[in-house]
Amino acid sequence: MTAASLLRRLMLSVPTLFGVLVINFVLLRVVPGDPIAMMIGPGATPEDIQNLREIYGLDQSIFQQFLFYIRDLFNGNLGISISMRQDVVELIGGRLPVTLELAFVAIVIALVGIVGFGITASMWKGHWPEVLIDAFSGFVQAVPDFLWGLLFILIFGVLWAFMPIFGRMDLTVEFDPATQFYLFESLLRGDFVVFASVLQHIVLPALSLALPLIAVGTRLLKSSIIEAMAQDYVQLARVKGFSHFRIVVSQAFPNALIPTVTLTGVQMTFLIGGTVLVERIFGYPGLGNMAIDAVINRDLPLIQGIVLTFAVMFIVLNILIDMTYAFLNPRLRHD
Amino acid sequence: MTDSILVRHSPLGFVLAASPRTIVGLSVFLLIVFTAIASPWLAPHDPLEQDLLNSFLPPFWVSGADPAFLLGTDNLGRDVLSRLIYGTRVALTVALVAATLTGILGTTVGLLAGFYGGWVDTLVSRMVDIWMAFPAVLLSIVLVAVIGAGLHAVIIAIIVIDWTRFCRVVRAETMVQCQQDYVASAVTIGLSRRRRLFKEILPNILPLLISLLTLEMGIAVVVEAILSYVGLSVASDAATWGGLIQEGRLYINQAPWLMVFPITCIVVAVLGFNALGDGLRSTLDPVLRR
Amino acid sequence: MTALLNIHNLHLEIQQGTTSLPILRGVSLSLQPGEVLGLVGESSAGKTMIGKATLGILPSQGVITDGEILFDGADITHISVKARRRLLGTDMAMIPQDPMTSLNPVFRIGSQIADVLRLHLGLKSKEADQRVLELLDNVHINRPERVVKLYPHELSGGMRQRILIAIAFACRPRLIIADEPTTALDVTIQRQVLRLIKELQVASGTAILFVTHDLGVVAKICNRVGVIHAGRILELSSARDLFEAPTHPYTQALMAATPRYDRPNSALNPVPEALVSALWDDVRSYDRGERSVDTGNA
Repeated sequence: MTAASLLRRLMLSVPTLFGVLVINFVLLRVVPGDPIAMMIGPGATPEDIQNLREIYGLDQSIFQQFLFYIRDLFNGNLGISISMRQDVVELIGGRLPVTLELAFVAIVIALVGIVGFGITASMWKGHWPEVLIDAFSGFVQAVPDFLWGLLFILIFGVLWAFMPIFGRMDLTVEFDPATQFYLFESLLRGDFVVFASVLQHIVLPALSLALPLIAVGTRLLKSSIIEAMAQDYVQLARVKGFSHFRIVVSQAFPNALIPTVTLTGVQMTFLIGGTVLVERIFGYPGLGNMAIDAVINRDLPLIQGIVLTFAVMFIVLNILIDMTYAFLNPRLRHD
Repeated sequence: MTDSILVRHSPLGFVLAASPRTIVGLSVFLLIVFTAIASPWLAPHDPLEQDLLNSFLPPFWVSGADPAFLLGTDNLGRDVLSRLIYGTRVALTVALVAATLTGILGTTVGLLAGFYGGWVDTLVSRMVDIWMAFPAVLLSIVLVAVIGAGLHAVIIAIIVIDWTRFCRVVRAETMVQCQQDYVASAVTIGLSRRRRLFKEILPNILPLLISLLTLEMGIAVVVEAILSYVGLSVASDAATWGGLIQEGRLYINQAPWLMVFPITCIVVAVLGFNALGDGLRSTLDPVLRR
Repeated sequence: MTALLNIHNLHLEIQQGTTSLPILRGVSLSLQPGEVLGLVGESSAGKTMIGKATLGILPSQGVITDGEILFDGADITHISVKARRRLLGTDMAMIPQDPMTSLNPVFRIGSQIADVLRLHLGLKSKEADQRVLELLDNVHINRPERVVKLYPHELSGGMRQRILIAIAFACRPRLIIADEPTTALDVTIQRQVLRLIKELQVASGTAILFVTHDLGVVAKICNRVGVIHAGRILELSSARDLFEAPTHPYTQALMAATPRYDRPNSALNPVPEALVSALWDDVRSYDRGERSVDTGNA
């Protein structure tokens, strides 16, 4: 993807982002109850309230207020969390890496699963590996996504209790992190005790996120490979004397990736959204877990900040998917 | 053709024509309806009645179980079976109300867009596009934050998020139907637009709507369970399947079965609704049946 | 001299579920080394299937029910996948019908020629790249060092067909199946491509089984010609004999039906209906004869 088309793609995401900003802003206005009263609680004099109104610009017109909101945003000011009395940007900054790490591991697992199953199923089309993989993805798709985390807890946390089912790492392990990216940091530092503990804790939540994606992606990849196998260029590859394995992997697969990436891209945004619930289920201290607490506490500044962060994550992910698509499809690549 | 109309309009004929999937799905559905209505008579205990001396009793097949509490008790000594039975009420309420309202909103918008076309259709299509681009999780967080936790918030969230599901299908189907000969002949015999819409097109997309509605009920059950799991649905002491799972999650090491039963209920309900929806579609839809 | 390719009494059916549709009804032909044999017939006459059966790339429903295919004296009708792969690319190659879809859209031109060289000749990537440039030069592509870096969609149909021809001749095969290689091209390009195939064929001494529906193409390139209808070869003779004195009425009708550029105002002469129905009566009685023999055996 060239710089120009990347810029064009970025411009396309501006309206989406603007929509999120508007909704986010309106959220603060339509909510029942005076936000100022919620901030300072009972016992405040009318003068106090009036003062705060002026400080927060609430005495201005709605349009003015929206401009203030945007201005604050560009200054990196998302307000103060009501329930935790902390800067929202700081709070999010502490949790975002946790969620990013979880999503990253989940996507890696999903990609490995999709490619492995998809190629295996199409390689042995009509034989037991395909039947088995089809049955697997059918089963996974039949069960509601959010139950997978719970089922894993029951199976690997209780029935065969060999996996941790709560938190991010063993509290007994000593670790003095410089960043919130525990997994990457411990690996880079070569601290394998910590790394093993963090990895152990991330596997089940990541797998619960990845599983529905694997089911959908495998089906897509398989049918795309089978479709590619019917093309003329595959027939030519056969006449060139290539083995069946090589034809599937090096001829059909690169072509099948193109439609698969587009369609699983949508599913990947579901995966990001799914972190909210999975983090809750596994007591994983990420952004999503904090989002639910924020909603329960009706902590509006925090909710606004989190919603904005998620929106940016979705937009970035979509751009990455578009770039991958352009990279895979030479017809969209310009030199 | 006359056969199929007869089959479709007599209840006995319907059951005879139904696929095994429809029958399984219908049985699950009727079981849920029955359980919800008859909860006070079916439940052996008051679902809120606490008995701290009898907390964490195991289900009947484990030694140490009390036959009075068939599926055991929770941390407060409340009867799990009774809570599950009362949980059906919440699940069914949300399933019926949310799915129906979602269906009405989505169908109305979809019909208008498909029937009138032009700028109405453009407007609706753009809205659907924007909606689809907006992740459901974000939307539901925002909605519940604004409305405040509770059953009504759950229902509103489902309607606002899922109307596009009906809208897209109904719009496309209405467009197809408008191309059919019978609509053209309705025009020539001078039926008004409104009559055409309600007397000609709506009845023909009804089978599709019914199956969509059934599938939506399954989705609604899951959404309610999710929101009550995270504590954003009905008040926390009320019995809901999602709430039961959440309580079970807290005491997973003492009493893993607390989580198993509500999960089973949700899976059975969702699979039942899905089977009913898919089965109905293949039974009712003359195009698919051909 | 033993024939390079010898097809004897080949029967082929498309089998789907319980029904089967006969495609080839006892085809026999032979091809000498370095010879170009044309197979002419209407679409669905089964001519393409002869090529596919020879290469062993029949669709999964296509089943050889009788007869044999000998390559260089060895029976290759039902050989193993491994043995087949030893033949393909080295001894046999193909020039496909549709240049637009026969190159893999996600790979550069150079790598699609080099891969077959590396596989069969064991060339290192440097040598292979060098050889690719020579091959592109052989098919008269200008500035080959630029073309190797392009993707298929950046080339015209005629260019792509030249690339496919280069791929077919890459490992100096002894037999090439050319399956309507000019049908998808426009007329001026057709002529250039035909000339190119003939030139490379003469230079390399490769035998070609040339499948086409175009008698004009056959006249330009083939030593011998077989006329095929409903899976049977009606007439097989040298190109000169066929054009000067066609013996089978169907051949005569086909020739009369070919539009002549030198006589633009003459009326079109379709193959007479009486002849077509007589031919099909013949086919049906052949099929009945087959069946009665079968039931007699059972």
